[in-house]
Amino acid sequence: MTTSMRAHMHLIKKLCLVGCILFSLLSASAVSALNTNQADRLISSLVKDINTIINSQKPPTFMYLDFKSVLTKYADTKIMSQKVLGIDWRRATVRQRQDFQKAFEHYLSRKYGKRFREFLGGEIIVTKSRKVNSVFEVVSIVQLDDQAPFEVRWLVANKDGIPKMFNLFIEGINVSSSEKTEIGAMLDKRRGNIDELITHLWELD
Amino acid sequence: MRNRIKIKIYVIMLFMVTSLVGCTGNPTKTTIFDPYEDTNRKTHSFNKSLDKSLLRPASNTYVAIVPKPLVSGISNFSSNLELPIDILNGILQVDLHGVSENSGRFLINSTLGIFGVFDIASRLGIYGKRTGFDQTLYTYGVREGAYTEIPAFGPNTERSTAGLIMSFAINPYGGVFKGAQAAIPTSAKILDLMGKRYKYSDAIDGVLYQSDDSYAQSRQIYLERMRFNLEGKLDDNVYESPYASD
Repeated sequence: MTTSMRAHMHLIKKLCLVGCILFSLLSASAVSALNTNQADRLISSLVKDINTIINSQKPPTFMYLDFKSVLTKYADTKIMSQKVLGIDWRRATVRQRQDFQKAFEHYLSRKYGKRFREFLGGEIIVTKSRKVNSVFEVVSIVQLDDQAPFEVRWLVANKDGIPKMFNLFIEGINVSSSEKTEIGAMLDKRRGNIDELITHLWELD
Repeated sequence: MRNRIKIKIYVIMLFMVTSLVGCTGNPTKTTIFDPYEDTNRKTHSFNKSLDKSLLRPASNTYVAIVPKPLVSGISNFSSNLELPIDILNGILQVDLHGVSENSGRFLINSTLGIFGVFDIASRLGIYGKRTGFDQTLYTYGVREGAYTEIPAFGPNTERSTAGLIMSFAINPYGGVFKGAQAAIPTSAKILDLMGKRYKYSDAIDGVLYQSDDSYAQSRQIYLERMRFNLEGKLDDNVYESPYASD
């Protein structure tokens, strides 16, 4: 191999390296590029689904199942489960984490499905959205007959390039943090037994 | 008459001053500050038993006996009576929009709505702007102080307790409802409370009787809602991505 050839190879190697770095940078930015429109579209679609369920006239049990499919479709229930379980998530086994997530989805869709069911005849309307730090906030208004409208705010984050809802605020009440308090109390009452907590979540009316 | 008004103003000023200096300092402002938790928890279980033995059964009976239009009529009547205090607070807060909303609402409902029994204003999209002395004190820079659960009145803060006392001290209807009629505003308020207890029974029962720590749950809900209503925004630290890589 001549000196010029060696220099040539060296240049090609260098170019390859630069290309690789550029490519990974570009693809990374493609993943992180999530804009306000996407977050707005996600929540608008979610709200549309909820409005349909509220005014569907279905019996409550079926409505709760519909709410659950909306929840699992638009939200990241795994990250929500992790948040509400807090430090106890760390000591939970993989199996317990999965079981808790399923039970939490059931519990959440029933508990908040009941509240949403009270909006019968009303409508949820998305009014504005904005980016705050690295998350998106979508503001919606619940319009009910003869009652002052009130706000429900939704937070959306970027999960590997896919927008996912991870928290909501009903008139300023932080659902994730109040459920963290509630789940914590349930766990305390069961002396920290995660399996008993899971059973309890399924049994709650 | 003039003396009475003077005394009232003194009382209000006294409370404003005392609450300015009196609220226990909450160093964090956004989290829960509850140094009287032991006492508060006792009051909470007292309030719960009050609800269970009195308010809940009474509200069920009330709604079962009294026809629905009358229940909402009484409720509207009572809410209408509260508007002058909201207007007064709007003036104290220099909130022109709130004052005009509430004045318009009071005017329409007191006349077209026949003493407030029919809520015509809401049908016209004039919902009013709920406010009170707690918001006025907040506007003047008074800190919320410690969380306090008050017998029969439930979740409060030191600041809102001061506000509650102020609204009692004012009693705007002393000159309107005289003699046997003096009990009208309070009676209407109690019936309104019963109607609301029934209307929101699912949500209230959920917090009081289905939670494993109803005290912690009602405290959190009260504080978050109150702060959101006063500040008109969520706490800054909620805008954090749950994904570590972000």
